[in-house]
Amino acid sequence: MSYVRLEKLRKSFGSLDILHGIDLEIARSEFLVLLGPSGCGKSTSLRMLAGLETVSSGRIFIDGRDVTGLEPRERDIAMVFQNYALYPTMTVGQNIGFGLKAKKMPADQIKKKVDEAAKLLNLSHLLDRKPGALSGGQQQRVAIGRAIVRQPKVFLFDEPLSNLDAKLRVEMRAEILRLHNELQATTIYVTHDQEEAMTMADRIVVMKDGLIEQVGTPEDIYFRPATRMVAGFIGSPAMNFIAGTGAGPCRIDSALGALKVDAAVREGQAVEIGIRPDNVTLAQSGYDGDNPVVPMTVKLVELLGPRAIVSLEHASGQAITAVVPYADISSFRTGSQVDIMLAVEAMHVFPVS
Amino acid sequence: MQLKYKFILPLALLLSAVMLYPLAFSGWLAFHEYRLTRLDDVHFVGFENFVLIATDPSFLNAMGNTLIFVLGAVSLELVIGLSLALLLQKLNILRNFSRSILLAPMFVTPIAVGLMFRFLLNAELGVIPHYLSKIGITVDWFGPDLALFSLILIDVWQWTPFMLLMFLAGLEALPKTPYEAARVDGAGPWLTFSRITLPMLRSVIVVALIIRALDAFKVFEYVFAITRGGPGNSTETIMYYIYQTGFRFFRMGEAAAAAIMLITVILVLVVLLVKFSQAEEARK
Repeated sequence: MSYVRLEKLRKSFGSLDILHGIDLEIARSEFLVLLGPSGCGKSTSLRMLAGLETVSSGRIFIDGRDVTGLEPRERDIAMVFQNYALYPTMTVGQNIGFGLKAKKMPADQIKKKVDEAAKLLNLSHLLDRKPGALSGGQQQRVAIGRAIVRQPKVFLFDEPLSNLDAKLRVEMRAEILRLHNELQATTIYVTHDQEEAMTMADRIVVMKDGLIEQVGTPEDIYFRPATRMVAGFIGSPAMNFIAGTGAGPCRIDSALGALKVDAAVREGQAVEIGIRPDNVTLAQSGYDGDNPVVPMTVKLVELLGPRAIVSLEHASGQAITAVVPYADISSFRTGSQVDIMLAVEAMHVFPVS
Repeated sequence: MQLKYKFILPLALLLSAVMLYPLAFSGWLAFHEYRLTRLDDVHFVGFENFVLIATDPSFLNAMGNTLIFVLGAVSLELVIGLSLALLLQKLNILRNFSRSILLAPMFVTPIAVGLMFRFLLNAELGVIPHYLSKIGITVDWFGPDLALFSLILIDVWQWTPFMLLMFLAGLEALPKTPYEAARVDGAGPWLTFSRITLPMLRSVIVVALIIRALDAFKVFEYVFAITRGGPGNSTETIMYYIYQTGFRFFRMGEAAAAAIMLITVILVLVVLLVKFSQAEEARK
């Protein structure tokens, strides 16, 4: 049963439509990530859920209650903001306890709860500091403390890690996941960082231009992208796309020659074949399976340590990126010719509209 | 001479002529018997002028009146200015129009404001007493009990816009996200104001208070234009006292001594205010 439900949620600023009617259901204790490029409407959706942004039409339900017109404080939610949004003149302890103070909880109880939250987040020694004297990571932990201390029905995170440096981001990611496992709170998390989404989410919602492109588990999103946009947005390096035309039930004519694919294609239909760089491998000699083998010129090799990103180019001009293990790297010399194999089962076919 | 000193020289000369010299001269005056009527008998008297002034009941009365005026006017301006700023910030229609109208009093010369209110509040001719009497209220605005209060009201009328301007600028420079966090946290308007807005606005408030208090200490025009210190000496402020001593009674030495004592009082107050705000800053 759904715990949070968005029903045909729309938002426009004047004549500009930001959200075109979003339907979404979120289960209790689920960790849902809204993912998409900037301007796709993910933050707006979250702010509407929080009550910070008015709803143009549609409805929002939390725990069965219609909260569409309610003030943020009446929705029993807590939110962590990208720029922390701490109260600059209050100490860490006062920041964390402010929501409880607003609820008129007695001071001794507030202190107890603040101490608990601080302990959970490893902030106990900082309770008397002002936010200005904290590092970015500590500030974000305070912001999280302020959210968890109120034990709300739903946690909302609005790109909470994007102001932190890469190392801290990985640490905080683990910390948020640990907290989620511990508290089992329903969480909606907005990010434009696919790595964050893939590692944290129970389910990912990929959005673009105010519409939902796909909802699914990280595996669904990565291995079974529903649209060309999702396929191109997820994965790094990005998926290779090869333009082609249907030439039979399972055949496509492309710049790389006639390719056999595992999908129904109409003859003459314009399509794009997508294949992830990991599925582009060195052709084994003497191999004669269904997988097409294509001659390529090596343009650039970028070594990442255990793997390398290799940029290849076909005689037709079609560029392909491959991720190859270190063991194979000696076969890829800049300027040399290699035969590569494209795995048929890893090919995605997207119709071109 | 280095180029940088050449650049600074004209201003240094100008400032010396119009500020440094008069300041030094009044310092010299304060220690001398110097009457404009007896310039042939100027002589050193040590601290005699200071003793004379400090024990003069009129001086103490003027100092008391000035302190009441400063405290009354500045605190009213603070409260009204801040309330108006909070209201104006929320105002969506006629935004610029209402701001310009509210700022207008600041641009009137104080002496003109004094004359204007002298007529507006005049017991026989004034518009305000006239309409008040129609609803059965008779107030003698410039009687012995109310005259100082009336001067405070006039100052409030003229200078609240300054506070308003400072606070509006301060409010609009505040970060927006703490307010969103407070909405999510469930804080009501009063809690938001007292725990978030007011503390964040503190430095602006201190600066506005210092500027306005310094200015209010110098109140002269309203007194000169309306009450001339009266009735009795109930509205005699320190500036008016100095003016009387120096330019009506020609006792320049004593006037200079009074001016130096005023500067000392003001300096002490400013230093205390700044220290106070710095201590608060350090606690952050």
